[in-house]
Amino acid sequence: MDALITQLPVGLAIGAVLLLAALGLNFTFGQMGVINMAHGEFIMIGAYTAYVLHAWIGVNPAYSLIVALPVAFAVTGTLGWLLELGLIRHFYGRPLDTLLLTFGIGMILQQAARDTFGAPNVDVPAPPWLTEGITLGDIRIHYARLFILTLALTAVAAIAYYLNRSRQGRQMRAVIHNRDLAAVTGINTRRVDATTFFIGSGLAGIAGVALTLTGPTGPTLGTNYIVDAFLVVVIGGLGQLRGTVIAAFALGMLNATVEAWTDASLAKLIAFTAIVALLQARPQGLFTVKTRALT
Amino acid sequence: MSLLTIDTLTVTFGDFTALDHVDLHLDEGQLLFLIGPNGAGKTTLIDTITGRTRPTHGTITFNGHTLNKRSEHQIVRAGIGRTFQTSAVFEELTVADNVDLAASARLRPWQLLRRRRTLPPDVIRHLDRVGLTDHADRPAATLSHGQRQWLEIAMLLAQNPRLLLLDEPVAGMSADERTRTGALLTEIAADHTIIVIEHDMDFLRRYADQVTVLHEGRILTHGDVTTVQNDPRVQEVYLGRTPQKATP
Repeated sequence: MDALITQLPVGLAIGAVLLLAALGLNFTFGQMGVINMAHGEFIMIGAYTAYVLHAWIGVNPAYSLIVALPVAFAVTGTLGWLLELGLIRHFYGRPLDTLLLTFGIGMILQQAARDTFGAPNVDVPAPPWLTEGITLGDIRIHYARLFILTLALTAVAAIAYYLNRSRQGRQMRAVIHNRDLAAVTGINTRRVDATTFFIGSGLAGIAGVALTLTGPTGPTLGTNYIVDAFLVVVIGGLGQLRGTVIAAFALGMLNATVEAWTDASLAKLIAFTAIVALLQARPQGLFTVKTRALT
Repeated sequence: MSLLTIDTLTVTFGDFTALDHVDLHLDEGQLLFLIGPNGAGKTTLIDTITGRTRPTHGTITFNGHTLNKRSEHQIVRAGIGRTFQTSAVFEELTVADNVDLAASARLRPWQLLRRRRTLPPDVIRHLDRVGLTDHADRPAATLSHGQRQWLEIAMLLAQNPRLLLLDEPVAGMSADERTRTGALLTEIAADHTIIVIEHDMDFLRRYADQVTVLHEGRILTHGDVTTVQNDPRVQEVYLGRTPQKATP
């Protein structure tokens, strides 16, 4: 129990990072069913966007992080949009081909990052106001972790608003629910697909910026998170926002507490075993869409 | 004034000819019933008009524009709306949101980001017209079969179409629901052009004026209900039985 409490901030922080990485997949994979293996590289590009703003353009570190968030969203969102427009749309209904295609795109992006920024990791300094922390009893809370948590929860709130309250989000849900009906309702389903991909990929950029707070940035940054992010979406139930949130924090807490007892690699092993067991019992994930669709 | 002109329309799927040199002409304000045995090509005809299926030969002209190469949502926006044979609504959205979705489909992307605080007057009007005002805030999944069909009609009206294509609007409805749908149809027909696919002969006799019979992808005959019903070719197509019994 003690471990649970002291590891709480760590678990929440890991959960928040996983959540940010998975939120984008919740759109492209969860809603559209497209397996985009380059999503991890979009995260990496988001992190490098923060680096470029700071190191190349010389934005003041005090607020470069805040500037980096919308810029990274736009950069990776545009990349995702171009990827959907130029390649992925021609592969709809062919998941294996899409997987191979995007895996290849991911490798190209990794190599491009290596050529541009060099193989060694780079550092993006955290803003001074995030380097401190506070101590509550036994628990040490870093402001950086608090920031990532706030960012993740803000992103969830924004996505919930978008999907449930805005007409554009409702159009997206309509296209996923019944593409034919959406088309005869006058919805431009092609544009909705492109928008979905833009938002999903843009969220990867946000995740990348957040990751610069947790450690160094390198060309393979995304590969460390992509598998876990897919797992979070699958455990939560495809396209289920609340499932994704719960799964991310559950996995984060599991990792953090088990890691406190044993070590990182054993923690990973235990987490994967738990996931396999869960998916045996509930292959559809924690939550599923309830419909009475005839078709 | 001619609203819809279909000229030597042919649609083939591999070796199968679904529509074979179909000519059809529809004036503004007309209410046309389309009948024919299963596989006659009725739904294919509607699918082709709405861009779901592409013509192999021939042209479809609507309001002076050729539709052949337009995408489905462009055809909707040009003023043609349709319903599907199996009733389809967005079940996880509320009844009002279903209609709102259809009414707002033409808005620009940035206009779609704002939250809608009150229901637009048009949405309220269309809900009222089909008698679903009391159900506005319920999920569409809770509607009965008949109510779903009416919701589809409300969604259709919200798109402001000039031409409505209804695929079996009274299929599976109770006698009471049929009467209400018939009244609704008569009301809508006053200011819209409509093509209805329907099997129900009783419904046809009560509400149809002009009937076109499709058989094996061709137009067999066209005329008023009594003439068409007494046409020996039509009776033969339905294998000597009354058309009603030929309905699955």
